[in-house]
Amino acid sequence: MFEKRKAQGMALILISALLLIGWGGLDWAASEMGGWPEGSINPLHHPSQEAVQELIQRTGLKEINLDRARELLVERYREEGQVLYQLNCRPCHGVGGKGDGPMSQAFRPGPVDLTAPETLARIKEPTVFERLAGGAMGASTGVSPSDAVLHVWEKELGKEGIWKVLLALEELAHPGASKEGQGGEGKVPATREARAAGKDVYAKRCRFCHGPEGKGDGPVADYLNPRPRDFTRGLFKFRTTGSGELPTDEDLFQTISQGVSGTSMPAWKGLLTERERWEVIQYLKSFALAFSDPDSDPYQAVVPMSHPIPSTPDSLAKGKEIFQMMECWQCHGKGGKGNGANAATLKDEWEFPILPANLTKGWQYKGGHNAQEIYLRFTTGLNGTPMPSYADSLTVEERWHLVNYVTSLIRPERGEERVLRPKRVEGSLPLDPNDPRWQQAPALNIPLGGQAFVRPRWQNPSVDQVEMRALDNGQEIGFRLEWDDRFKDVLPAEGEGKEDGLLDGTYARPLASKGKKPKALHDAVALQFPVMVGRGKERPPFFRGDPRRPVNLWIWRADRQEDLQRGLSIEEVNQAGPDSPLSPQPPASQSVRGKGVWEDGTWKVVLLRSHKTGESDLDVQFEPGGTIPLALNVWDGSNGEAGLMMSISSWAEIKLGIRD
Amino acid sequence: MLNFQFSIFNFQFSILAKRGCMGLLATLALAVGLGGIGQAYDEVEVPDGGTITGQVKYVGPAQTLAPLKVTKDPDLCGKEAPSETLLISANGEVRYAVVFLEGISQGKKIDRTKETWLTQEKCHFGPHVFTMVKGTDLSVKNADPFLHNANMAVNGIQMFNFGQPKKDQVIIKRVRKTGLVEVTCDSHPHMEGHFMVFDHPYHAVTGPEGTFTLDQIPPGKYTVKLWHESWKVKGQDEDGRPIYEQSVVLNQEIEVPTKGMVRVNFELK
Repeated sequence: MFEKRKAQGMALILISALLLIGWGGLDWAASEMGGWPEGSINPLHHPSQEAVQELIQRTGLKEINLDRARELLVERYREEGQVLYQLNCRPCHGVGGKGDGPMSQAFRPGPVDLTAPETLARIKEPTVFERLAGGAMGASTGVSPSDAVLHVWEKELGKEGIWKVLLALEELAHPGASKEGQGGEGKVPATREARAAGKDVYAKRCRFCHGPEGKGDGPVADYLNPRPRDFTRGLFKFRTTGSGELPTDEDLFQTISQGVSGTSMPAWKGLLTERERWEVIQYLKSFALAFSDPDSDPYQAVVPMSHPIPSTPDSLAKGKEIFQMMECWQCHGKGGKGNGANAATLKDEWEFPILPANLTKGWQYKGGHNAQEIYLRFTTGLNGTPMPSYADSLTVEERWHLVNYVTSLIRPERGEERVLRPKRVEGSLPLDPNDPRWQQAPALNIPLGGQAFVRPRWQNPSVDQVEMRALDNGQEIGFRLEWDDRFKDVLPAEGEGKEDGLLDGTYARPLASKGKKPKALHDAVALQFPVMVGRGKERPPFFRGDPRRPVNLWIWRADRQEDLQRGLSIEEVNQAGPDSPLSPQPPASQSVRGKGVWEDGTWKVVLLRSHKTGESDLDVQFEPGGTIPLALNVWDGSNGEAGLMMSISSWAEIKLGIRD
Repeated sequence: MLNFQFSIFNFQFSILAKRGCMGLLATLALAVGLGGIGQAYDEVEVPDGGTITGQVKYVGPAQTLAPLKVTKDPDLCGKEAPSETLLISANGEVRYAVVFLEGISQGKKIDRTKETWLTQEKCHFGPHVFTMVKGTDLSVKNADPFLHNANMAVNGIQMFNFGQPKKDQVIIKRVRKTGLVEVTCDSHPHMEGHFMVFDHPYHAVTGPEGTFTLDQIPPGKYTVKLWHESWKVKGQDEDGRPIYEQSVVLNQEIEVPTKGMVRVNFELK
């Protein structure tokens, strides 16, 4: 017994260590310095005579000499590569390649930081090309290959597309490309030079999303929800100034530096020097006329800031009462999950659908969630959105009570824990998701991100976290999955956003990019296990396995639970890779039972099955003492999610108890 | 003679039309017409001023627009609200058109004691259309026992957005910009209102008989403008409420005689 435990402990330590190494541990590191572009084998550095001639023809630059034309062509390839990078790689690797894209939090291991000295700067160019073209799945050493996310891009971009991306990444292959920590001399005056310098920063960093003229219409814009800000109307959400007023330079600096949580706007603190951030502010203010109107001086409109009130039980009670009286719940919901009666109809000033914040998720507070930040949101409102100012309705003191109450709604940040430990109970397992026994089992929060492997790829997932609990009575194991979802969607319609050419890119575009609300489909969740687990069994790639390593999915669908005529509300299926068909198991093999309930912006779904099914070729078998990988897929119907447009997690694990 | 000129503003801004209202940015151009940009108004004595009076009429078969669907708080607000977008009397007289002088830079004193009120009652902004002067106060009242938010955009750019959760609460705002203001309530998407802010006192909203009067105008040549929010449906929003074309703006060139009167009629069709 002791031996066995020790062995398990060792295995766990080993796995954890491998996970910690992350992608950086993949067999990328070459023995010699990469150092490209000197000695680069990128064929796009040497465009063919024909390509150069074609450029000359196309642009009509008859006078140009061939060398200059060649340079122009390489620049053009680099520009295309930048757009390709921003469209396809940014969701995980981030705008500046730091591995901090909007989906970077979801996967374990996380995306590699391309700017780190041990990555692009050390890896030989052909190796990088191979990895991009063929993906990192099945990479030879380092972390378990099944956990690597980088997929095969040659199918999408072609060889030339990949070379273009590499051309765009050359800068990052130079050691010292990172500018973190430079500068610090404070605000830059609004001079012509500052604007010109800011324009360069903007062209290099901002225009892919915000557009060449600041209209929020760059090549990436249509893929993002919420959309990038259109600067031309001078409407900015996060300010220290009154409702409808412009932001101060310091307000803009704060937003640019810390980014906008829960959106694609990154924290630029580590990507631009302090000076560059101040300079780009001087440039982006030139997009809106109002900034040059002395009557609109934001410094005349700064609201006073006072000191927070301690969060005592008395203050919380007052805050709760204010939340009721101010009817915050009309939009944010009674429990603050952003599911109030108004949630479905809200639009921003550009007529794009907009959702009220889920106040329980601190990491989704766009303007940050410290006390001062929350105070400012009530006080100033969020320009351009339906969120109004309550400065006329609440005293300063009342606002601080409300800050305390709202802060109390915030749940703990997502942790790093990846192991689910079922609680051993006696008797039959509860089918009711609200049975109090579920609360006695330890919870594991599993992060999710968009499905970024095969078309339609999706980078606007709605569900970013599922809380799991498990109960085990020795015969049966039960799981309860709980996640926030503003709307209960139970329509049967299948559809993968197939209208209006939303699927013609490598990623799907949200219907919101056309100012429309997606058709509400249905909500669903799937629990995924490898079919085969055990010693020596390599776990499958975490997105639906592969032909060698199939997965077993338990899929629960809200539409079918609503109307059983539509089919099994819980279905056991198998799949051997995302490109292969889903194979539902025969009726006699369907043995998972369960039930879902939706209340006040929360789904709770219970799934139960006996440990063994006698069909080890189809079903995962829960052996006592075993460690079983587990991953999740979640669909939010009213976010237009169906088919492969969904949230997914990488592998977590269930650690089963040892039979007593 | 009166010189009729139709100029329905049709700018190439690619923007989705506001619920049942006009495209917002198109009003940017209108703002120039309100004399609001880069021009000050001087208040002087006008001993020999003239008067413009007239009427706005609708030409064509009388019509009443379908009521608007109300999707919240039906107990107090009902399930439908009558549309005020096009109100025509039996004689074809049009209510809620704004008539104003364009670009006037001096004239009679502005009455700053006049109070301007906007009331939210039974999920309705009243009055539906009004005018006011820059630098004066707008008093907004919520007469309903639940949350409204008056979300106001001037020339397509949000100007104020305040929550008003308490019954009979009055919020007073000094209006510091000129232009066309669209008022909406995010809690009740069918609610809408319009007002225009001028830096001069020569503006009026037509009453139930379609009439208006502008008085004490310094003699001289002027452009009289009419604004109407437009009733021409070009589509529907997701809740089935109509989306209208951009505002109708008409111009007439006139001359105001010393101590005399000039009659100006407009026709909407």
